Amino acid sequence: FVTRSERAGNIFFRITALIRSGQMQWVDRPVWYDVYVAHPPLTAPDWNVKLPKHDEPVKKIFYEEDVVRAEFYKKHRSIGHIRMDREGDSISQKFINEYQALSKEEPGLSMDEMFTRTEKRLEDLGVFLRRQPKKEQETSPSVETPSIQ
Amino acid sequence: SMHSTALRTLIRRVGASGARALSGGATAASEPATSRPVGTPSADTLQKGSVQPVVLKPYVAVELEAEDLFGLHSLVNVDEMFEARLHYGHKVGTLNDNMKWALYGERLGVCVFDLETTRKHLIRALDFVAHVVSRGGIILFVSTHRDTMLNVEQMAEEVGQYSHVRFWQEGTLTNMRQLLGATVRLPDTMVFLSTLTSMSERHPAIVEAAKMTIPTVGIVDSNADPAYLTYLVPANDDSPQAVAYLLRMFKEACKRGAAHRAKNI
Repeated sequence: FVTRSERAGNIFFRITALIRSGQMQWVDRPVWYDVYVAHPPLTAPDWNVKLPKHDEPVKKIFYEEDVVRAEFYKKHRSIGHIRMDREGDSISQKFINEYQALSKEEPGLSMDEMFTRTEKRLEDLGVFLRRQPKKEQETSPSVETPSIQ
Repeated sequence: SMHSTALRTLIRRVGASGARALSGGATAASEPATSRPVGTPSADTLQKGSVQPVVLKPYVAVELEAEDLFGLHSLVNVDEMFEARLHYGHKVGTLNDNMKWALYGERLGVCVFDLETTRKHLIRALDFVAHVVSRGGIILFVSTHRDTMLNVEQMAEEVGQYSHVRFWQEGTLTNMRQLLGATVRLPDTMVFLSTLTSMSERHPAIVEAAKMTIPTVGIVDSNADPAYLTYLVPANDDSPQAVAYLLRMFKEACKRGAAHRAKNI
């Protein structure tokens, strides 16, 4: 059986019990007591209470465009840097925006076709994703990184 | 020997605290404004009140009934919390089952707090702290998070309250007579900016406060256990930006509470 004072009841319960039994006078109640009565906590402050969703699995957050995002990263593994401290969309987000705009304009295309078309559209905006062969050198096409945001 | 000089200054604040001090100071002339002539609740009312605090509402001051006396609903907003990165939790593997209620979900293994829930709870916690300060209560801010402990110390000093961010000696609250050797006034509320120690265990002060019936406000992260805390605020407690935001909020709450007290004394 439980004997520790902090488990016998929450602090409000214990102070109220002291007042009820006469061990503490109503006028001697603590400063925070009235505030607790007027604005009690939103979650029960008992030590052994099972809070909501205790036994439920956690919801996974996925969006519809995550399918596009996954394909994009499969194709372009390391591309650009994601800057958390700057405003504006990341490269994958720009890609997704163009992809969605394109799918509205021309529905019913295959995934590969959509990808090549979106890449072309991004190139018009100045974001190069596909390898461009250099004109002077004959060696393997250089990999240029897209503009670092 | 005490590790925290902040607690030494508590010795100077020996004095009466509680409802008796509040009503003793008010003279007959100012009675009607803050108290209602309802008297002492009966034993039966107290029995019901011990599980349903709302039953005791007629016996407390009228001014406490105000939903938002300190204007905290406009102070706390979700956009600012998002910018301050309050919604980031730890990984799902470290999630405490008793923190699932506060999550929006998990994104690729990272817990994400529901900021609407956080907002509601933060407002309630700030409201409590502001009211306690306006009634002459003293707040102790506690944190053992190495990155932010100095900010906590600084903030507490700025608002004229107290902080303890160093090693917590067991018995600081429960064995104060032996450790400090004097009659000391205990804090009326303790605010934990981080409920875990550097060993990722529950801070010993939480249980000590529960033993001494001191209400605790705890910023609980996804890996923290919310047991023994009175007011919970589910939020990120690790990012410096998140803690800076929370410190700003608590500072504002303390300031508003103190201003209210100065106006009504």
